[in-house]
Amino acid sequence: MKKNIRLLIIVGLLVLLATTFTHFDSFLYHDPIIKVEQTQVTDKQTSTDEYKNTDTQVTQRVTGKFLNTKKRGQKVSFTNTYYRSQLTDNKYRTGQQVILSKSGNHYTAKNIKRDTSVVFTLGIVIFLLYCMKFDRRKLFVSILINIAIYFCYLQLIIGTHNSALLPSTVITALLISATALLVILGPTYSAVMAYSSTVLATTTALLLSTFILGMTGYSGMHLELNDFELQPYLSVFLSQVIFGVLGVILDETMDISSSLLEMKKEVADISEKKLFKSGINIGRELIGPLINILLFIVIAQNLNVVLLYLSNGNSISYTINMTLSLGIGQLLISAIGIVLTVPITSFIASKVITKKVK
Amino acid sequence: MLYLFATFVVLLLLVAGTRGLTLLFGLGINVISVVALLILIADGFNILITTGVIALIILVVAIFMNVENSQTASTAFTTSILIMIVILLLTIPLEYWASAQGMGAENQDELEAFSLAAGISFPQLAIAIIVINSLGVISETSVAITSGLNEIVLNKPTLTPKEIFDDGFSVGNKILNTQTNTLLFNFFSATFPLLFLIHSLGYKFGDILNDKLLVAEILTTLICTIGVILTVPITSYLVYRKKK
Repeated sequence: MKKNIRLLIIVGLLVLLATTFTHFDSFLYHDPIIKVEQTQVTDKQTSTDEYKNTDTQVTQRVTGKFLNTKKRGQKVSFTNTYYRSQLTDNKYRTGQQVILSKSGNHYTAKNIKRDTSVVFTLGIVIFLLYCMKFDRRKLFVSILINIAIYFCYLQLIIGTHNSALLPSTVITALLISATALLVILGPTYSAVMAYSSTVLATTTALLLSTFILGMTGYSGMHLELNDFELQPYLSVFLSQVIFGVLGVILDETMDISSSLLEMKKEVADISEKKLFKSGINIGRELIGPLINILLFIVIAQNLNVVLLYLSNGNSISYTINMTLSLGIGQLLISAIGIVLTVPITSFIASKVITKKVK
Repeated sequence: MLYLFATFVVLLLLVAGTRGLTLLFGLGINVISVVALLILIADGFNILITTGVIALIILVVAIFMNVENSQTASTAFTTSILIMIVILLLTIPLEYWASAQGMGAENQDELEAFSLAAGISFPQLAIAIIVINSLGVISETSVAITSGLNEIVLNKPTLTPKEIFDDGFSVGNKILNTQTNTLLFNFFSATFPLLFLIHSLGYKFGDILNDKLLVAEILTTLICTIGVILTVPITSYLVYRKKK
């Protein structure tokens, strides 16, 4: 117990230290950074636009002190204009650290320094993990390996200028799911069963869906309206589908195959058919919650743009068509994958378990 | 797209039988709730209150319609509500601090045709986004841990609180791993186009670390993870109290 508390204090101190460090790390930046000392509203204009949205445009005079570069300690001020709704602009507050860019003799605000808040939030996660009796090592290992793989993936797609996006995504998906399974289950039969079912279910769902969508020429899907209109549209879309659904399908296959393995341990002479049936029974309880997970993640990711469309006088059906068609397509393909996983995993697991596990 | 939906329905009914109908019904209610949320926010209702009410409805549907055991359902529901409150209390100051609301410089092209004076508080919307993002993960985690823990507790009539917490963590370990995977892979899915674009815009490391859109994604992932972590002790405590 005492040892635990000592460990907790050390972790807590390290988190605080890291957070404090990023608060004072402006010397690492090339761009000038100021700490806002005073803000003053110089102008306020409330206007109602053609869609009856009332918003206020505020002009503020921001005064701050340089934290880095040669001008460290000197004062600077600039004006900043923002809408009260703050879609793309920012209101600056006293105490905030702001990164500036210099053009000629003028300074303009470029970005808010956000690294301290990110490090602090990460710190909360790590501290909470140390507060409780989780198997932290497994978790950290799998996350770090997966982030490393993702980093290599980014280098690869940047290096090939996005020309080999889909193959790179497939390889990455194969690697990260293998890592996740090996770390959670170890090199066991369950891991092999879960892996082969995941790969098979995801592939089947993607092939089936692209076939169906291809038949109708992707009508009703605005593939070109993906985030940042990145090309090639179809590959970007499919890559997002693969990454999105992978975690959920892994969860599902692991659940089904480990339950069936447990069942075999309890009833040694259970038949292959019975195992398959139990697999389906376990699996169909999982479908609903797993689709829900993706539903809310997809909605949340598009909420900003949806509300921008709606506030610009577009009807709800036009808005959904323009902003959520990709999300809905992603959800449907994922849902098909989640449903297909149930029979595929039950089939593979019942075969492997009857043949190999004695 | 209609064909895709039809395929999904046919497959669902083939695999899940009549259970599939209940499932479709639940999904339908969730979709209607989400559309209602969009309309209400666009009509100028308070974002946080609207999100809270809709989140409550969604949790009721997600938990009580998917879980047959009523004891498991009620514990999971209480847990989810508590987690939701914690997430809200955590997100409000963190989002205020990070100012990672709305859209970024990277969205410039798509924003050209729009009036940016939307009259909607995007800082509040940023909080709503994190809450909505967490709904599915939190309800699934709390149901999984409650049913796993209830099963263990049922089989052993006498359990000390310490044993219940230990069992909670042994059930929780696997769920924490799978849920962080889901969150992490969805983070990959959301950020690879962004990071690709950022690279072609020639951002320096400092710019990337402070980028509004990237920070928003990181905060979403981390705060949802906090929700998942806290589900374990809260569920264990509730199961322990019920047992007493």
